[in-house]
Amino acid sequence: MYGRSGFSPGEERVTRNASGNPMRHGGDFSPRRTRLFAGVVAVVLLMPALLLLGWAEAATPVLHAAVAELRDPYERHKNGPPLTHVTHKVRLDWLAKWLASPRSHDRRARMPDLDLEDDEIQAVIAYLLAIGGETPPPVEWEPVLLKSSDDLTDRDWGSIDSLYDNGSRTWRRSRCTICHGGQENEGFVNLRVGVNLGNVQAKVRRDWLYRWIRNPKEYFPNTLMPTYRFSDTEVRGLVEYLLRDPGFLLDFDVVEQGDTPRSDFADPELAATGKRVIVLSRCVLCHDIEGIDEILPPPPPVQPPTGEFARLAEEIKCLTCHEIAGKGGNYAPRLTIAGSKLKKNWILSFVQAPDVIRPLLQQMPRFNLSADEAAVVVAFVGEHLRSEVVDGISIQFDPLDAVRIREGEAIFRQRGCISCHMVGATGGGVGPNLSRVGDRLTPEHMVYHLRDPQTANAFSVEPNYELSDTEIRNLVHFLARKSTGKP
Amino acid sequence: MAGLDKKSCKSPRGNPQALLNLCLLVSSTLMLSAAEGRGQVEREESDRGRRVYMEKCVFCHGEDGNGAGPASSFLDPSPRDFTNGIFKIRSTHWMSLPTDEDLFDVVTKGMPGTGMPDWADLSETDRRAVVSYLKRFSSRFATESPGDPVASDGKPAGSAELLQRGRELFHRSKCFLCHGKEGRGDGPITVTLWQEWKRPFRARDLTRRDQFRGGGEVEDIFRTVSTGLNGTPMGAYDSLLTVEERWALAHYVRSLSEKQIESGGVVLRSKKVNGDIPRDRSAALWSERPHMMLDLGGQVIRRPRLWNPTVSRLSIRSLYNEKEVAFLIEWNDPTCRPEHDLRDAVAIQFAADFSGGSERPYFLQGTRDRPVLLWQWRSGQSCLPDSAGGTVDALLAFGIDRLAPGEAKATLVEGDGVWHSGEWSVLLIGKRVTPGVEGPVLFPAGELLPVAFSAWDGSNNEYGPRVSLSSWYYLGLEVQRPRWALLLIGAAFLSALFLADSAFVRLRRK
Repeated sequence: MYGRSGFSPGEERVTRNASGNPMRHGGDFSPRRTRLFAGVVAVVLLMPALLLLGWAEAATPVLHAAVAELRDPYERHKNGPPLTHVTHKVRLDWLAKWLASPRSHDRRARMPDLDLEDDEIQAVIAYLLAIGGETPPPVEWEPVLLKSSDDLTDRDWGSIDSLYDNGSRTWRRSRCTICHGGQENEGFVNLRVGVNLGNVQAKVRRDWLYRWIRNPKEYFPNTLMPTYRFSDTEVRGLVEYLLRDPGFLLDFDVVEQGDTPRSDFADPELAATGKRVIVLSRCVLCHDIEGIDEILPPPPPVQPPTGEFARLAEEIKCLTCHEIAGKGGNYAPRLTIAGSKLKKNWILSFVQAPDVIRPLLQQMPRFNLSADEAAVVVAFVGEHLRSEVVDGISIQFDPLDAVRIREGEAIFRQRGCISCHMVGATGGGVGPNLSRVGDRLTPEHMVYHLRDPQTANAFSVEPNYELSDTEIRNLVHFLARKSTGKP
Repeated sequence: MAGLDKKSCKSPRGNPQALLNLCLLVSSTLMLSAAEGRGQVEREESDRGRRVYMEKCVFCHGEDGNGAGPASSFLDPSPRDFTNGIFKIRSTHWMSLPTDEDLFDVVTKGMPGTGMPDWADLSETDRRAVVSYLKRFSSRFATESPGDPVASDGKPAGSAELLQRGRELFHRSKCFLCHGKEGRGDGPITVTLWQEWKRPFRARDLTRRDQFRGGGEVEDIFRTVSTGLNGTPMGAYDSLLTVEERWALAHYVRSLSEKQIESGGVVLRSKKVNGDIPRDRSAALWSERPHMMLDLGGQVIRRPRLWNPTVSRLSIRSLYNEKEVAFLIEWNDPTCRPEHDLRDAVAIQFAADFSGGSERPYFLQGTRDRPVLLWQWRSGQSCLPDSAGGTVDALLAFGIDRLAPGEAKATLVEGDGVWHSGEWSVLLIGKRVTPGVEGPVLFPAGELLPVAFSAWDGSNNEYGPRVSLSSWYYLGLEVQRPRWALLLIGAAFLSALFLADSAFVRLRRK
């Protein structure tokens, strides 16, 4: 800046060559221009610092405590169920087969094959029986239900038909196939959640199944399965459906009657051997087992959630499928900005009675939430799961503006949106049905989505048509024309 | 300085009472300063410890001792977090604190296979001082004491019976569930914890005792088996096995590393066979060949880089005849299952023009001007243990990301790979002459040909440039020198001596 000769600003900047003629140096800087230049440089150098400060503020959003206390169900210290009462749950012959080779029961079993000898397996069962303690009080059943399938007469079948049908309907409403599949089918959520229910009749005891469906967390506190608000009839119906429907048979082998404990299971030495086998096999890495010391240090204690929504989410396990603020599964849409995206009334009716938005596989189950519980959901979502960006979009939405609606319809037809979306009776099935999308999505979010579909929904395959703001506004008016305009 | 008593006071003339007072004053002052001196020694030690820590340790272990120093994000495994008081290498019982001596040993010897170096070049005082200093980071040292060391007397000498007993115990104590039937860290619990549940625990490959964190001698293994490694699934077996059983186990585990013999050379010697090269890996010709062990490192020059490779050592043997040259390559890999279609693979790299000499192509798969020839084997789409499979390709590489199908002469190569209990064994056999093509024999015998090796473990997300590789070594196809050549050399040497001697005698006469 000062040239080769090291002049400072204001000095005489003329040098002369050997003949005495003045020489020009590159870059003439008068004092005023130098100061101006220096000022510009200073600001330019400072700008990154200023930007960084502002950027740092914007880039680290402070999570409200109500959202921060939501627990990711996949972050569990131990992924296996507790085994203290496993002998109340499963039949002993099944347990022996499972311990011999989990993968032969369920191809997708995530428990490794432990290469146990037969006598070691019997010893382990003896120990598990010893710690199982007293069986809980038995559940009352209609006597006809306790007959085995082979012994049922047509009359018997008739009398349990309504219960069975109830169970079949409950199964469908609750969308159990999303996680459990059935027979050889795999479940869909993260492809690994949900036990294979094939041949469940040979595995679990009827009483345990009843208690499990009614409240899974009672047996396995960290289960990923939701606690549906089933009525007693619905629970009994599901039990009947699972234990009788041929869809749950993996093979046609006769179920062995091997559920009676062998006489030497009561031998304390056998139980002690079993305990040693369990200690050496490190089962406690994945399962809580009474009487077996921990190997890994315990995780820091986690406080149970205090907020109403957080407690409800623990019961319904929303985060098994949905993601909120980085926690949870990726099977269902992200709910992080659901408050700015969805209309309150729609959320209220949807969580109580979900209907079809997207292709059939992804439909949300019906959890039988009460009106109060639904109100908790709406309040939480509306208050905490918001996006400043979406809320900041201003669109003067007028459902009666016929001009904009007509223009929007033209865009809709021209761009071929109907090839993926249904409107009315026709359209494609790739994207959601847009017939009444105005009831579901806020106009602001529709704008946000149309501006860049992949930003709004990372899984979207919708192309970015690079519409102008006016075109987007018109399109939104068309899509939302049937909405009542209520938030 | 301590222990001063009144008797050592000289008795001055004059008042005995004043004398007594003077002695009391002097001795109490001296005792106080002795106590203060001891405190001062401690303070000096803690100052010294702090100084050593801040000069040497803080970069990895952090100012607060929580393992989050500035270098820690580059390290795998991560540096120890001292704040929770959980230490792996100890002589004390399960979940106890280590003794000072335990900590001193680790500081002195370091931890092989990690970023913790040995600090033997620090003085002993410095090392002891830093051990005292780092104990402050965890409140456990203030409230608990380490307890007694686990009994470790009576180490027996090794013997065949002891090894057999150790092998039985290895199975009956379920060690194989984590460490694998042959100890290569491929046990079902390890694979499940790591691949299914993404937990950061990998059981040690017991054939690599040079990588055991607490040392690879029998005494070290005995200690680890007895006391366990706190904070990991390796528990303590002192309550489950007797001392005698643990010694047998320690001897057996040490013997698992026997194959990993350091060969120390840079030349892979290939032996000439008469007749066909055996395709059967258990043939005598193969089992007689010594293994050449080669160390591999992760590729960290071109992105994407590989900082923590699975494969760190290959064992190679080679045979040749007039028509073919064969390589039998073995390495440890806990799983053979491809992950997201990333397969396990190995490649042998030669200079594409087969020129010997010192001017070698760039070791990272060559350059545009000087390409390399790669013989690459990749595993199949699914893994069936104990069954041969995979595909072999010959490729020309003009750089790490410029591969072309091999049009070079040495493209006739075949082979297969078998995975068994944590170990891949790949046999690659290539033609030395291409049928129907005139030209010099490839792989000329008797010369030193540049050769390099690289390997990928699919389940560790290794692919393309994320590769474990070696620098250039040499391949030498052994040529048998005839016996009479030795005699000739001997005769030439003797005659040279004679000539020199007679010339010397003649000179002396002058």
